[in-house]
Amino acid sequence: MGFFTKSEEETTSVPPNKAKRQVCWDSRDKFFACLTENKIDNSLDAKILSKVDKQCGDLKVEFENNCVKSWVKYFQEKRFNDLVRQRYIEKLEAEGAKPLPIKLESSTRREP
Amino acid sequence: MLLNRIPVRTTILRSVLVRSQLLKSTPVFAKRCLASTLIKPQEVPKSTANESSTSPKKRPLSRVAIGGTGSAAKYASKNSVEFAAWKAVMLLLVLGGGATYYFSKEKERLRIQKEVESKRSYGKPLIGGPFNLIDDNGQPFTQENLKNDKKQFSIIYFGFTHCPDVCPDELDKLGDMLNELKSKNNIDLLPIFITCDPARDSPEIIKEYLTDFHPSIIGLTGTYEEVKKACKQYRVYFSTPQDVKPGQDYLVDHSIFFYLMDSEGNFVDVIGREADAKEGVEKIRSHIDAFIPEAEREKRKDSWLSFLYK
Repeated sequence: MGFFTKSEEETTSVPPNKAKRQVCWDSRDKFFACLTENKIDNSLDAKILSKVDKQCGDLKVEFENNCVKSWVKYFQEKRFNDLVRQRYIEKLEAEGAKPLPIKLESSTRREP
Repeated sequence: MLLNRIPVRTTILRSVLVRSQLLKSTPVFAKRCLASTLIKPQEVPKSTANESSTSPKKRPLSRVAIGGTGSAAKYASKNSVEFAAWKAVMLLLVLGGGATYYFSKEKERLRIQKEVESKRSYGKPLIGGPFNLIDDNGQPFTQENLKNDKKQFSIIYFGFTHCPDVCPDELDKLGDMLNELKSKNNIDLLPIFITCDPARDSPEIIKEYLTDFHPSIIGLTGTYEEVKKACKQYRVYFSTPQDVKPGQDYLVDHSIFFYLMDSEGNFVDVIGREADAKEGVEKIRSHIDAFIPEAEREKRKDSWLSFLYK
């Protein structure tokens, strides 16, 4: 991390505060609601990028303006991963799979 | 209940006495009845042999009520406290209920103590250890700052200020837990936030960042090497992207756990993301409740009561 100098630190390192985070999350939720409405799963997919811009373009711009760049990418990736995971769980449950009764938090509780 | 029992006993005793007196006067009967009384067969015939001639009083057996005479009943009622049955039942319920509650609580406490002790006997937990960082006022902060005599536990969280959603959620949870512990149990924890992103998170930035969550949280940072060392001690994995250009925005992957440390700086437990604030509070509270300082632990081991804690 030797390349960091004082001036660069000032331009990049101020994290969003609580209010800014909330604004970002709100615009994210609006954008994602639009994606869900238009049945778009992976908003980062280059093939459907034009569709995203056409259907939810305004909300996307707002989302990108209100959030830090790294978060914009992160939230979209996360949404897609969560969707895939959720569908996989639903598929398994439809096949009759049951969640394991294992919980990480067990050290102060008695095992059943 | 106990009060009730005493007079009953005295009447039984008296009835035995009456019987033995009778036996004294009637040696023939004595032989028959011996098996049913507690008096040793060797003693009774001796005494009867001596006294049978001296006692002039001879009463027929059938007139004496077995199990107590009229005078015995009078004696009992005069000396016993009248104790209605419902009062006895109430007393039993209250005492019994109280005792059950106390012992079940104590049992749980001992169970946690035993569990912590058994973990200790395997050797020191591999989580935690020396670190050398600076706090959000620029003052040095090491593992020694976790140690105190006030039985104040600390809770440590690793994160970074640019964290998009998980860290703020978890830190909000930490704030809730701290408030609840304070208001409900009057427990003050020492909350510590250690950054995994020392390149961007200076003491000032961390300080500013933490004001959003709880005023008592202490933020720690340091050189990249020191932070990495601290993370390693706590088995925290984190990765900063390799090819970050100056000024570029990036995220840091890191593992998310709260580490509960006791007032001797030893690792106690973790609180994961799936636990909500209420569960976390319960966990912390029970561990603090069960905590015994090392000196007392040693004393217990040497004491003759040590078997109680095994």
